[in-house]
Amino acid sequence: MNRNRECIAMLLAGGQGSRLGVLTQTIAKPAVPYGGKYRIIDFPLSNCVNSGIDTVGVLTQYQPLELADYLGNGQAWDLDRADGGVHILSPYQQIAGTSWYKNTANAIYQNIPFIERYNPAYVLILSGDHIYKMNYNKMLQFHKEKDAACTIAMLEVPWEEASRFGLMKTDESGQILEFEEKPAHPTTNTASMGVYIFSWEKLRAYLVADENNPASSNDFGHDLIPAMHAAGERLFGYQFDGYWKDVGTIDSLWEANLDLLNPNVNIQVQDSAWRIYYQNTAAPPAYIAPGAKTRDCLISEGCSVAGAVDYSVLFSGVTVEEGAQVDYSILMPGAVVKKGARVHTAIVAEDAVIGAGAVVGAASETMQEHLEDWGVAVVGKGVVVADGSTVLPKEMISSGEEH
Amino acid sequence: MRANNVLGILYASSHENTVEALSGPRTMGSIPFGGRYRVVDFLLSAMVNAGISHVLMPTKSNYRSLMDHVGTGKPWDLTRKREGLILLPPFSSGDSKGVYTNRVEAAASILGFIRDADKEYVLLVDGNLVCNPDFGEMLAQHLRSGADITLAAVPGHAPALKNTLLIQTQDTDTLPRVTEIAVTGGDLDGLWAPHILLMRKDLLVSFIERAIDPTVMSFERDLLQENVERLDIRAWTLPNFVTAIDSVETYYNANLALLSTAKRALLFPADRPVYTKVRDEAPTLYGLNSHVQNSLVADGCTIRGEVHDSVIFRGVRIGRGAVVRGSVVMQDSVIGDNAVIENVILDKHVTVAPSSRLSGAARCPYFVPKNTDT
Repeated sequence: MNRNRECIAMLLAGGQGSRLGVLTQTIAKPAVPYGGKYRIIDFPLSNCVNSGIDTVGVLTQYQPLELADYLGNGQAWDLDRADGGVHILSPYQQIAGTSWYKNTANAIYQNIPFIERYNPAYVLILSGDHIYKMNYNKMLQFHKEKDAACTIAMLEVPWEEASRFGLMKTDESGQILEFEEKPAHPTTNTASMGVYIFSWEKLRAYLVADENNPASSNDFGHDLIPAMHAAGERLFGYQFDGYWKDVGTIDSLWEANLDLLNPNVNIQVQDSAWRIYYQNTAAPPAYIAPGAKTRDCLISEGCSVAGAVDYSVLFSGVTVEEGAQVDYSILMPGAVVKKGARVHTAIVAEDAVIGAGAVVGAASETMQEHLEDWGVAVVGKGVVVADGSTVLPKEMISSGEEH
Repeated sequence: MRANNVLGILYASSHENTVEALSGPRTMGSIPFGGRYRVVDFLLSAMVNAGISHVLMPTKSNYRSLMDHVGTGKPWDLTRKREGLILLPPFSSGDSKGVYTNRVEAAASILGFIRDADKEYVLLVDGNLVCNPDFGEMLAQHLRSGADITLAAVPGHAPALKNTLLIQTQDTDTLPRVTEIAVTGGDLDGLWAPHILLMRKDLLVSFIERAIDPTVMSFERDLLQENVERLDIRAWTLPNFVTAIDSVETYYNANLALLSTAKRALLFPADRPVYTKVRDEAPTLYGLNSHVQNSLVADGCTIRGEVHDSVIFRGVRIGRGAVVRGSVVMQDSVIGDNAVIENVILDKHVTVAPSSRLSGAARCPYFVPKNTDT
């Protein structure tokens, strides 16, 4: 079989996602559950497959076990290929010594031999931190039409968030005139999505140069792209106008889940033309008991609901007992809300148990006078919240803690 | 006990003629059941969960949907270099006439596969059974009792199927010994034996080899009833939810029986998951004015109306103001706004026009065939 590929993808999945606190205590950020069925990494992986890219290197570093387990041989995404498919690329020991991935560009640098096995003309660099549906093939066509060295997917972000991103200014043809990584005082709100297509020959040369530069922090946005820009390479911005969300914080993860229920937000996961694939669990259909109230919510197979669920997302195997009330919340796989418990504005992680009569979080209406104290409450994986106890808004409880 | 020394044989086409409305476009085994499954999923998963890694699945006719469903056996982890799942459509050659008429003839037509399997035991099951037995336990009991043949047995009302076995047993230290076997037309009360037989493979092979005319032979009369004294036949009571599909009404009632949490626990024990072909559906969306009570709902649906006492398969859409009661709605069917359906089975891809009304009697559901637009 011919191993040569026009374009392969390298997915940076090593991020710790420390701002997600207890949710990423034992798993890498790309493995965080999202949307009732998925994990974050399902989005870039499904985008690859739906775009016709069948070779994906997944670079892992932080807590790789669960992620590697989840990816398996890639079969869930149709990436179990005789040649190509999904490959987990962990840092490894070499004759010259052990080297962790120092940063994004260094992680790709260390995997140059992997990329060269496929002799690609183009390399797509992705991260495992974002929720979006995108046809990378269209972006690749754009890259080829422009004869670019590097194409960066970009979109408008709210001005107040702009300083968290790489920002760019382009001319009418899309050519990048200015590029600045996370500036303190943004002069534009056109941001990089962290999705890059490089012509491989160019990328290879700049990776080697970057590695040999002791002053470099070996980061794409901070070092490599500015170096290409300074050298006068053809860099283009590719406009994306769909839904895209960086789910790097508790608030953004909570919001991105509830976006699935918001009719004004354009992230359609019930889309047979652009399916998001995931590792399935063998659970029977959801059972909605007599007396249950299920309105404006997403409920997955394996759930059992006897209480009231409003504007929430229930992952597989969640139980909401009678008299319990759940609103504006995300209940991850296997979570249990016991009789009479109330969960408002919260993320309850996998297999956590909210004891009978316990109260987690608060509804925003009840806190109008102290709105600054209101926020998403988080109950970590496997935590048991005792009967009748309280978890305050914004509070975060991790496994191993008594509560 | 791991039953990895057992060859599974699952007849995907058993008793299809009893549910022609449902089996018209498919085999018995590929009739949708329980919101996201096909009938065949239950016994196939039970085999796999017991450690059986080699399953032969003879089919008769209309097996396209079955092939589409089981594929290479991947969802059951039966895609193997050695062994795995082998779907066996009718095959015509010198001494075989192709489409068979009974199970012995079917077994005779796949005798080569049975002989070649490197297994000591064989488990024969019918594809119209919905149950999730612990076959590892059945094998352990079979071995402990030293029986020649172990039959699964169910106390209660036998299905109205031809060649239904009613048995009498005598207690022993191990499994009860079968002392009498009556081959009946079913629909009677008593201890009945669904077609789940465990025996040494060489016993099965020699029975088939000695069958002079397999077309007139039956396991029920010629292997079991005839040999009730000569062979040591034992009964293993199925501690389980068991349905043998023998009519559209039975099918309908068995689906609705799953609304009982106790019955679901029997069919879906945590340690014996039921696998099926996956569809990577999104979670089901319950709309602002939806109202769902006592129902099973699979993934990928959009529910904007009311649903009561029903089983809703994957990808179903229920419009605003629509009311669904006591119904089984198969995958990708669409119920238009303000339509009302009551005691109805909608096969796959049925479209119910907005504001229309369909109803059947409580014990006699109204059936709408696949791809109908009402």
